[in-house]
Amino acid sequence: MAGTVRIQRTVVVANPPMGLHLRPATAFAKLARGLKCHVTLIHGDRRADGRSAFDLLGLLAPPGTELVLEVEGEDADIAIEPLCDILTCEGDSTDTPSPLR
Amino acid sequence: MFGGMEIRRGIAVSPGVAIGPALVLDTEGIFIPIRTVAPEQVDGEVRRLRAALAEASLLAQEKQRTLSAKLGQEIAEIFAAHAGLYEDPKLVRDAETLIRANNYSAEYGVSRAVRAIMKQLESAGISPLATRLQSDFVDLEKQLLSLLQGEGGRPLAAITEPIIVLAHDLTPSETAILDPKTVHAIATESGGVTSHTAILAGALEIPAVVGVGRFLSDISGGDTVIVDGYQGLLILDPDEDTLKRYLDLRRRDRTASGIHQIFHKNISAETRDGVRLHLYGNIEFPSEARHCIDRGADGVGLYRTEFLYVNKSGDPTEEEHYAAYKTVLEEMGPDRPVVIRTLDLGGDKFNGAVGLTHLEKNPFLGLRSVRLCLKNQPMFKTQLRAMLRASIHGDMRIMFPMISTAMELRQCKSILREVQEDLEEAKIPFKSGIQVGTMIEVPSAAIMADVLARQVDFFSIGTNDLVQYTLAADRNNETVADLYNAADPSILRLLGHVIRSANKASIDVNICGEMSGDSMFMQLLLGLGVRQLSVTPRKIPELKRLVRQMSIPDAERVADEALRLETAREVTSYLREQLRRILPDAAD
Repeated sequence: MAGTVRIQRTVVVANPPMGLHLRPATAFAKLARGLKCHVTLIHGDRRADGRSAFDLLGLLAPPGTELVLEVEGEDADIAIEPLCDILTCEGDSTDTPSPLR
Repeated sequence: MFGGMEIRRGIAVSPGVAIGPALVLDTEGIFIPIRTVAPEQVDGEVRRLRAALAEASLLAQEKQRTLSAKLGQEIAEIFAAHAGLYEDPKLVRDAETLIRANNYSAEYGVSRAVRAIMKQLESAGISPLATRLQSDFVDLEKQLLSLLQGEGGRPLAAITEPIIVLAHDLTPSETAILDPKTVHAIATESGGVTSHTAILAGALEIPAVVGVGRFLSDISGGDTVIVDGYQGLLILDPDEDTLKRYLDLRRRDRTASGIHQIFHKNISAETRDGVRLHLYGNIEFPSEARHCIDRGADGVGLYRTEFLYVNKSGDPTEEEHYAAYKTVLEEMGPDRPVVIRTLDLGGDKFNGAVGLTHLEKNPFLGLRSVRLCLKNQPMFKTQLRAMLRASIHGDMRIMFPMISTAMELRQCKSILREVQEDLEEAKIPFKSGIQVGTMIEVPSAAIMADVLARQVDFFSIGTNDLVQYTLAADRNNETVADLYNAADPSILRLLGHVIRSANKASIDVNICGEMSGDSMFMQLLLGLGVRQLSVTPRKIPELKRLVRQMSIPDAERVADEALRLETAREVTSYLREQLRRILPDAAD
């Protein structure tokens, strides 16, 4: 088995027009929860647990925000691409108004 | 309350101090009934929390499945996102930690956990993303609270412990079920001095602060808050010193009002030189007639009837009017007059009721009050008919609000005559010779007071509107509120003219706006010739005490001098000084 890997990558949030909002955040957290590695998103001096959409949303990252994605653990090298893809998705991810309202 | 005491300033609308747990009302009536549980119940609360989260997630997934067939994958994915939030490890961890560490109820734990995140978003400033996420979290909290509370939630009426109600604004249906025994204070984000909440709080004698601005997202139900209805403060998460100070204040308050009441109930409001003043109560609900009697009022000087019209799908029936009026008249008995004011709806009060569906550009100068009644005569006649029928139960008097011209007053009186004739024809009894009066609250009416005085049996000067219309300033608009001032020399002159006109025509003149309850103006009003005041019932004992320190010649000198001053500021400082001379502890 390979040793522990730790990868950091700078990512610019896309997901226009809102940025890291409910849908990308929950999708990201869901993916992270299925991984063996630890996923952390860093915005300035704030760190969010990649497995928690709550934590991620608290970073408040509109499009254009520079975040550091840190992945540490067994499948880190495989995990980093799909995680990045969620954050940098260029498609319009505008939600229809929240159906709970 | 996330990190230290916060003092928010609003508008003081009903005096008094209250300290207690907050009950946060939202528009759907979802709220947090209890904040903490016994230690042995904590495990149960954690189980309730987990069950609610699991149920919420299942519900969202179910919706996702049914909707993806109907509306496509795209929309259904939003529900997947919501389901994901309910399963969020941080949410459950934060809430559970809060519950275990503090013996919180599941509701309170969830609320605190969600609001901590919202607070974090807020601290980053306003942005489209932050606004959007805030509302997502509000929904999430609402959904979880409603699941925790089971079917339909617990009704507000079932509250049994003392609480402080916090809301954006109170709807008529919410206010209708507030019980002063359990609701110890009210604070709202919106509203002004004449808002529904303000009037209601005053009527129920519940301390209240309105127009505080946004604060609900900074607070969870169950948090300890202080409402200072004297200074218009809402204090979140008070520190120990503040808490102690307010506990003292509350204790002194209670003792003082008790003494006041006992001492002054049975003595009359007489000046040192033996001139008797009549002090009446302003009321809103039939039950308040009792407050008037308890405070030793000479009668009801202003019975507002608007509450019969709100919180209803249609207009009130004649019987509903009649029952309310009869209750008040019987309570007050044959020797205490009751002045019932006809519908004064519109402006800021209860827009939307009584067919006020169209939007007016300038509602305060629009179709309100008696203007509305004259346009909607069936509704007006229903009320007048009920008043006349009720007249046999006591000393009832009828008053028309917001009269601007002599013509309007004539129209009102002729409609009243028509209704009287209808009743005579139907052989339905009513009292003859009922006194009819008009409010003087529009500058045109004040200027024409000598003419109007020939048409009525009494005047009642509504100083709130008179000041607003004379100075063309809305006191709820903070950019111009400093212009709104009852001490303005223009108001003093108008009052002087109206009072002289009434006295010349030998009709009664009463002051029923807020000015009449302000001790600073007492000598001035006496000196101008006023012998009747109508105030919120709890002010009566205090005013009696004041009157008994005054004499007519002194008051007349004060009035003469005040009329010579040129600005509101000069008038205010002069009147304060004069009040201090007769009652050193009265002026602040």
